[in-house]
Amino acid sequence: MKDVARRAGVHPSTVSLALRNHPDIPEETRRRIRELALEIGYHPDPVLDAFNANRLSHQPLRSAPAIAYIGDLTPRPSCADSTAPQETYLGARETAERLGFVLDRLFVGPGGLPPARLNQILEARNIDCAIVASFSPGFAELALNWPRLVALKIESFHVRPALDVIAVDHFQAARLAVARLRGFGYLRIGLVLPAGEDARLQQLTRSGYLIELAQSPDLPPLAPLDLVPGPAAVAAQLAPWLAAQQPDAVIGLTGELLDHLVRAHPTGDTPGFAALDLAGAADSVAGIVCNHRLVGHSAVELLAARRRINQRGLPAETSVTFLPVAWRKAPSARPLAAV
Amino acid sequence: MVKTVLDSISGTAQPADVPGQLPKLVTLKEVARQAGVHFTTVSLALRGHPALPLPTRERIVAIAQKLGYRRDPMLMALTSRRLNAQIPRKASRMAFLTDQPDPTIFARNAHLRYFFDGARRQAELMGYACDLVYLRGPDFTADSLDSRLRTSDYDGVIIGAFHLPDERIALDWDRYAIVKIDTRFMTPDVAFVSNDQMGAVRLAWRHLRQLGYRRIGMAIGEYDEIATHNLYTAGCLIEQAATAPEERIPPLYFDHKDRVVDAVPKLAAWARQHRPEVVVSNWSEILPMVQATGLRVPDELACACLCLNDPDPRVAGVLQNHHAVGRRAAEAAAVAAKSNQRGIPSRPAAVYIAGRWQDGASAPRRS
Repeated sequence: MKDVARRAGVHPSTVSLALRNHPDIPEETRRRIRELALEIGYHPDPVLDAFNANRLSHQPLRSAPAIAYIGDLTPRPSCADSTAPQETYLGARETAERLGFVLDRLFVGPGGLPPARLNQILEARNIDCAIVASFSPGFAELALNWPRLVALKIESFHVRPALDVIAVDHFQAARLAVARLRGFGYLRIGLVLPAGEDARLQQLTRSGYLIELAQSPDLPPLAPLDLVPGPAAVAAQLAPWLAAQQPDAVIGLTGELLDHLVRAHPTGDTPGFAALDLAGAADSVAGIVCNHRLVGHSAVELLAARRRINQRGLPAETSVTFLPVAWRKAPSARPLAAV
Repeated sequence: MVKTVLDSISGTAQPADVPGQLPKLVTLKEVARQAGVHFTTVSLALRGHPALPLPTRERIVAIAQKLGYRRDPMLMALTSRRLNAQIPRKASRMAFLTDQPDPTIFARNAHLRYFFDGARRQAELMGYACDLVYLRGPDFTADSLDSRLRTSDYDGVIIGAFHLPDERIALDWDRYAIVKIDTRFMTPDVAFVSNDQMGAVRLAWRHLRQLGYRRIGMAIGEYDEIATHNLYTAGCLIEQAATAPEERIPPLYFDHKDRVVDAVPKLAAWARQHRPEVVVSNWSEILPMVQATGLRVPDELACACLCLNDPDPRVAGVLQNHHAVGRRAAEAAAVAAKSNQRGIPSRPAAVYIAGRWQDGASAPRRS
């Protein structure tokens, strides 16, 4: 915290107040300090916080109600270039602040909190709202004391228990990418995804790919490639797939795959390329713009509405809210006549 | 002061059960007397407060419903203002529009009834009244709709699963938070809530495979396929992608104008050609249709329905949660109204509600 204070040129207690979103600190200063803390990777020590919360719990409650924003620290090398998780978080935070909540970012996974500990912290801090943010494919279940929580998931279809999900429209993203590439005149459109990423989304991407190709009987679906991460491994998996499938266009998840494609085609005949999520991608990459901030925003808004009427616990039936996507033109995919 | 507020909390007048009697005002205290609890307990129960055990909450809610108690949005606004020192809000209303001509015909469509009941229940939980508004009938014109919604201060509009989605309704959209149920392609292009058609196909597929079926075929109304932007076929394709090529049967599409009698010979010819073990269909008449082909159900051809309104031991399939669709639509409209997201968005959201698998005699475990 002192590091943050030194960089911000303020007293540590100001940092503490700012990170707790205390109204005594001007809005602008709070924002600046929070961004700075985020940037240098400071986040409050949950154990210390729980202790403080307990110590202060005998005093009258003054702080704003909190929403736990639960993230997963498992590294995801295949999407390391994506800014999607951070954008989602920022969208959630903006809306939380607007609605008078504090968004409390907590982490599970390697180096993060075990679920039992997370439960204790939520109870100790009297947090009754939780957002399960985008979790890595290997994370199967999050055991929390759900009956007392108003809770939603962002993206994490695969994490039990079943809760309402707010997500980017991955199905529509895949359809839109195929439709645009088809419109450009590409005839062999392939799909390359990091292993596990589509299973995590209940195969929404592949469903969209298959149904959109089925709209034109002359376009065959190619066997999809599930990439196991690691830079050397990617090249080793990509080359035989390209040789066997002969795609003239490739749909990938993030912009990073384009670099691999370029390296795999030293003579310059790189296939057309579209990314399904352009968050963090270079301007030269064509593909789908996903409004991750809107995802975070919608999740907090729905959560706040449900808290107001005490709609807690696990739902009897679940809903999925898909937020719209859009196509972005860029040099990596162009109408074939113009090439 | 709190006591004064609570004393004045009462329900709105409801029509009397006994003809000739005036509508009676049902108060919180009346509900409390009947339930044998303190009136603050009733208040907590009706707000779904977790401090009360669930059975108690449900019992009190049931008594309140029986007596016809309704939370008064005016009083809720008042108490919320007094307790939170917020700016007062006018009583909020939501309109559930239907293109059905009259109440009798509306009531005959179970799914519409469930949509509306769900919407009203959720709207009331969130402090809104929800009225069913008919767009047809002798005294209806587009002008009268707009002025009717204006004069009654409606905040939210739910376009309730129109049967004729080509219908144009002229409204000053910017005044309202708007959500549609189904009818994705109907104007205006706003957020819609729907049963999860792709999920239903996939759920049926996986259950039928667990029950031992391998050659699974799908028969879908072409109209529904188009209206859902191919979600049925998308579900079929992704499930088929995981199966052996020889098990993949091309879907059968019934024509837009096909009645059941027209569809049966098509079903029979398709079944002869592709020899499916089971057919899944979004047509609710699928069981009598298969029977009409002359094939024995389930031995020669089993079947499952993708949109069951109510559980039926004779028919296996996916039970659609229309009530939840209505609830989620009202919730989305209320959330949008609260944050002043009115009018037609540049790109709307899509919300899907999962169905639930029901075993039935039409598709038993395959020996």
